[in-house]
Amino acid sequence: MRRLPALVVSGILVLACLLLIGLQAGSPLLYSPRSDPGGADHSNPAALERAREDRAAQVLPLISDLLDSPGSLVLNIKSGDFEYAARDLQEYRQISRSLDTLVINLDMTEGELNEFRNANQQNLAILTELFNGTGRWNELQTLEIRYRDSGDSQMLTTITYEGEALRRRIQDLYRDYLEQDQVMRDTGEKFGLDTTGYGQSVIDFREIVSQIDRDQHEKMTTLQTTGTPGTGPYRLTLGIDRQRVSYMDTVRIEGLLWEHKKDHPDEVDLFIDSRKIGSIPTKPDGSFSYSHLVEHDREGTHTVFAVYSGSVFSEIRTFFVETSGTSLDLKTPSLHNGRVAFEGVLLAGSTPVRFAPIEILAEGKRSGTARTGEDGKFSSDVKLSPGSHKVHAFFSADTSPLAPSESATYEVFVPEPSPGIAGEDGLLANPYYAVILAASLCASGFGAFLYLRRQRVGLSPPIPVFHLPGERAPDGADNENLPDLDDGGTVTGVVPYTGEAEAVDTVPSGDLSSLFSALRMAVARRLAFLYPLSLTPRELCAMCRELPFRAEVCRFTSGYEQVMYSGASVPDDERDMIGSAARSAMEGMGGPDH
Amino acid sequence: MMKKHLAISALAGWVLLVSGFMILARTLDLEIFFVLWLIGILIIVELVSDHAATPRYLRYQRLVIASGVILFGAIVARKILEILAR
Repeated sequence: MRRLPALVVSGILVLACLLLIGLQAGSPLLYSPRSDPGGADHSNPAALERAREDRAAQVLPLISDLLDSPGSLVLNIKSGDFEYAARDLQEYRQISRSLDTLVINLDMTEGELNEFRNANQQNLAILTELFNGTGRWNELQTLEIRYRDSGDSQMLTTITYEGEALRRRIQDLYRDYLEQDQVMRDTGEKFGLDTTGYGQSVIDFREIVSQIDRDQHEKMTTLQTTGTPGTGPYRLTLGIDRQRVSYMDTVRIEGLLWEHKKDHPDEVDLFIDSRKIGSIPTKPDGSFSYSHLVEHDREGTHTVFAVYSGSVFSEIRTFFVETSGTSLDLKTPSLHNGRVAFEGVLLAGSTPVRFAPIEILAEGKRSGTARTGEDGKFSSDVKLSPGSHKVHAFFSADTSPLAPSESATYEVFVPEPSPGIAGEDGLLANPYYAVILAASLCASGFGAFLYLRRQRVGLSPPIPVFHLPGERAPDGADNENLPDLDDGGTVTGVVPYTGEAEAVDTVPSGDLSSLFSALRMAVARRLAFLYPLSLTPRELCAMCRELPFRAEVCRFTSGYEQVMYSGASVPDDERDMIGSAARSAMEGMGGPDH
Repeated sequence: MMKKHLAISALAGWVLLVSGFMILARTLDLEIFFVLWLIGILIIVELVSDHAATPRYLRYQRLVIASGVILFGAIVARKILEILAR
C-alpha cells in the first residue's frame, strides 16, 4: 500500500511526458535564429550575429582555397606538367563542390557569395577547357614534328589550322577569365584573404596565351611561305557574310573551287572549329555555299575553313558569336493531385529558345527538370514535401550563346496528404498497400508470439512436485505429466504435489528432517522456486517473509536448527511443539491463499 | 543495488540519452523514439531476467514487449507505404 502513491505519481508523470513529447513530435519546432520569425519584434541581434559568424567561419576557408587553387593549376599548365595540373584541377573541382553544398546547407543566399560562386563556376569551366586545350596544343606540336619530318604537307596544314582554332579559343578563354577577375578579387579582399595566388594565375594565363599566339603566328607564316593553301591546279577561296552573329542567326559561308572541271561533280569538306560539319557539293561553276545556324555554338570566335580532296585548303575565316540575353517567364504554379505543376516560356529577345534545359528549384535545391519545346514553352510536375516552399525556374546552358536567367520566385504551399485510411488516396485505395500492411502486421504478430513462447519455455519454472522421504516416486502415467527441462530430462527426486498436508500428518513428530523436507518442498512450490533442495532452514524462513504463515515456518526452522545442530538432547514435548509449527504452516498453505 | 533498480536506471538512462541526441539533432521523432525504447527494453529485460525464475517485476514486461513488437510492425508498414506513395 505504501507504493500506491508513488505509482500514481509516476504514472501521472509518465503520461505528462508522453503528452508533451506527442505534442512536439508532430511538428518539431525548436528555437534557432533561423527559425525565428523575421519580424522586428523577434529579432535577436546577438544570436543572428553569432549565426552569421559561424557560417562565415565555415565558408571562409573554402573561399581562400578557391582563390589559391587557380594559381597552382595555371602554373602547372604553363610549365607543361599536366599530371600535376590534372590533380590540381580535380582538387579545385572538389573544393567548388564543397562550397556549393555548404551554401545550400547553410541556406546562404547573400548576393556577394552567390556572385562569387557563379564567378568561380565560370573559372572552373574556363580552366578545365584551358587544361584540355593546352593538352591538345601539345599534341599538335608533337604531330607537327612528325609530319614535318615525313614531309606530309596536307596533314601539316590540317593541324596548323586546328592550332589556329585552338589559339582563338584560348584567347576567348583568357578574355572570359579576366571578366571574373574583379568579382574574385573583391570577394577575397572583402574577407581579408590573400589574393596573390589568384593574381599570379591571371599573369600565368596571359603568358600561356602569348606563348601560343607566338607559336601559332610562326606556324601560319611558315605555312603561307610554303604556299600550301590554294597551290597546284586547284585553288579554294572562302567567304563569310557576317562577322558577328548571335543566337538563331544564320552564318552564310560561300566559296569557290578554282580550276574546276565543268560537269564534274566535286565535294568540298567544310570545317568549323576544326570539326567537319559536312561535305558540300559544288555547283557546275565550282561555287558552293552553306548556311550555318547559330544554336549550339558557344560564345566567342569560331574558325571556318574548307578542304578539297584532302589536299587543297582554303584560308581560315572567322565569325564571332555574341551572347544573347534570355528571359524566363514562369506562370504561377498550381497544385494537381499533390504535385505542383510548373509552366513557362524561355525567350532570347523575342525568339523562343528550343530544347533548352530548365531547372525547377525549391529553396535553392533542384527539385525537378524540364526541357523547352519548339516554341520555347516548358511544363513540369514536381512532387514537393508538404509545407511552404519558395520556388523558381532557372536556365543555364554552356553549349549555347545564351546568358543564364531565372524566373520570378513564387511561394507554394503544399498541404499534408489526407490521412484517411479508407479514403480515395488512403491505404485501402490500393490493394497492394493493404496487403503490405497486413503482411507487416502478421509478421510482427508472429514475432511477438515467438517472443512470448520463448520466454514461457525459458523462464517459467517447472511445476514442483513433492514426496515424503522414503516414499517411492510414482512411475508410469504420472511421470509422463512431468515437464521436460531444457536439456530434455525430467525433474527428478520429487513426488506428486497433491496432498502434502496429509503427508505431513503421517510423519511422526520426532522425524523433523522429513518434516523440514516436506515443508521446504511445499514452500518452494508456493513461491515457484526451482531448486528447493538447496534451501537451508534460514533461507526457507527468509523466503516466507511475505507469506501469512511466516511465523509458523520460522518457528519450525528455528526449532529444527536447535534440534539438528546444537547437539543437545531435546525433550519430546518440545519436538511435538516444533512439529505442530510445521503442520500449522502446511495448513496455512492449504488455506484460502493456496 | 537490486537488479530491479539497475534495470530501471538503465532504461531511464537510455531513454534520456535518446531524447538528448534527438534534441541536439533537432529531430524529435516519436517513431524513432519508440523503436529505440523498444530496443533498449528488449536488451535490458534479456540481461535482467533469470533463467531459473521470473522476478515479479518482470512478469508483465514480456507482454509489453510483445505489444511493442506489433506496434513496431505497424510503424514499418507505414514507412513502406510512405516510400511507395512518393
